[in-house]
Amino acid sequence: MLKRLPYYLLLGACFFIQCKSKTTADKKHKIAVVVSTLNNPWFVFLANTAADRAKALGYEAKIFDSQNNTALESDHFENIIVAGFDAILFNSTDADGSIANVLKAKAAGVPVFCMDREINSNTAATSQILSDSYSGAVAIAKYFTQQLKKKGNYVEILGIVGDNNTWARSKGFHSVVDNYPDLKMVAQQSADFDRNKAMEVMETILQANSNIDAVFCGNDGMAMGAYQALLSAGKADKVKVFGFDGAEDVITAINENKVAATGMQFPKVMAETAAQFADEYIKGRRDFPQKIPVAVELVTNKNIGDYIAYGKK
Amino acid sequence: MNRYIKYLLLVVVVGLVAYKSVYIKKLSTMVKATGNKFDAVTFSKKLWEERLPAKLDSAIALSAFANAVQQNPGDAFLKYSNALGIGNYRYVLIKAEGVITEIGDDDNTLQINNGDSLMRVKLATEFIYGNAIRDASALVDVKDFPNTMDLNNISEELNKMVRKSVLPPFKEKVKKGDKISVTGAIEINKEHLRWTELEIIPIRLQIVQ
Repeated sequence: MLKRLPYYLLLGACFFIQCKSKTTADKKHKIAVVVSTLNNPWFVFLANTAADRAKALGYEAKIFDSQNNTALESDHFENIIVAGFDAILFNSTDADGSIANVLKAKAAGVPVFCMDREINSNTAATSQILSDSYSGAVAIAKYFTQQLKKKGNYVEILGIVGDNNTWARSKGFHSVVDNYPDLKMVAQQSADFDRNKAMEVMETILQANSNIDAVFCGNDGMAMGAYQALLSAGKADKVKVFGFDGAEDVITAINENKVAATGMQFPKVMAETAAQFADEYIKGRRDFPQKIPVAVELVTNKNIGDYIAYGKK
Repeated sequence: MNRYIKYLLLVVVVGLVAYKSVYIKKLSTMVKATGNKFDAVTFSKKLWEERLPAKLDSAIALSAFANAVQQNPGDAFLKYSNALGIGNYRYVLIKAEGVITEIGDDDNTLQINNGDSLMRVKLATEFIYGNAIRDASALVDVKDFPNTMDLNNISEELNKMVRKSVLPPFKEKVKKGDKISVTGAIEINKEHLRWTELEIIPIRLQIVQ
């Protein structure tokens, strides 16, 4: 055994040298795009746009789907760090649960630029480019209150409870409607930003509350689910539905007067800004604002002609 | 002897792998406390009383701004507008004098002379929400506020001041035909200009005659 000791030591040394050389030799300026889910077309658009922009800037880009699972997201971060990516364009699965992953990247010297979904840390990410969900919901709530003439019963369908956008939208909405005591919220439930769940939630709510004038949903998928439930119950003409996102089917539905309004987010702007920031970071820039809000625009049947899904015409 | 070295090597290797694989850190260092104690009420009150008046004094006349946009939109937005975030919404501090031609539940219609033509805009009297005052003032820098809710709360406090102190005395007295003077904030979508839908959020508001 003693005779073989130098061989073992040599083997061990080779192992570490190989690891070291792998991380340095593989540095081909790569950007990783980690997205919460590719099950929702909105996030597919976000991820593809980020990857396309990174490629256009001369980087190799790869998309990682976290499938709304923080553990899987953690694995992606481990792999990204080991593979020597230069930056991460990140759409988190959980405002709190994702912080550890971002800190792991930060410790490894890999900058992280959050897109759309906020993480609850002001020091972990290099910068966070986020939809101004609160202000978008304020604009929707103002229109909502005007449409309902300041009175009526309404339902609020929330997104994922662990996501900051869910509460930013809800708080923005309530910062307006709660000033009108004749607007009464008869039910508030989460449907996890999921269209089918929203349909089921709305069906259940309708069984207990037949007199509803409007529904505010935390995203467009849920708005379409709620609309489907209202249609089945024969109430689609009476109840006004409000969404948030600017997804394709809701833009069509606003055109057809099925949905009253939505808040248009700009995933293209967020994704391209994140890729641009990553490029600037790699080239030496360090002074990034921690959070940059991206304006959300109110879309109704009055200005629908100005918009297409996920952006402007 | 060989066996002991073998075990020792094994322990070293396992120890090394375990050491490099597991990181233990305090939760407090992983999750930075988000509940900072920013006082939006005091900050906004101070901004309203001490810094905003000077900005209002230098507000551009609405008709002059409209003409500047017509001539060179890029320059006009660059020179007169501001926004904390990225996007098409821009915010401007403007002043205007005009005649109230209509009094509605949620707004009044204000008619302003603009050279040879007349300009009609809305004067908001009910729905005072959003970021128009905060952003148009250009007194708040996004880099100073890593917590998004702090920025939202500043807007909300500034809007409350309009709702509680600017509008009630005006709404009590104003009637159709009154000439008024207003300095306030406007939100304008630079990609889709709609002057007829323009709404002034008043900050200084008085009936002239």
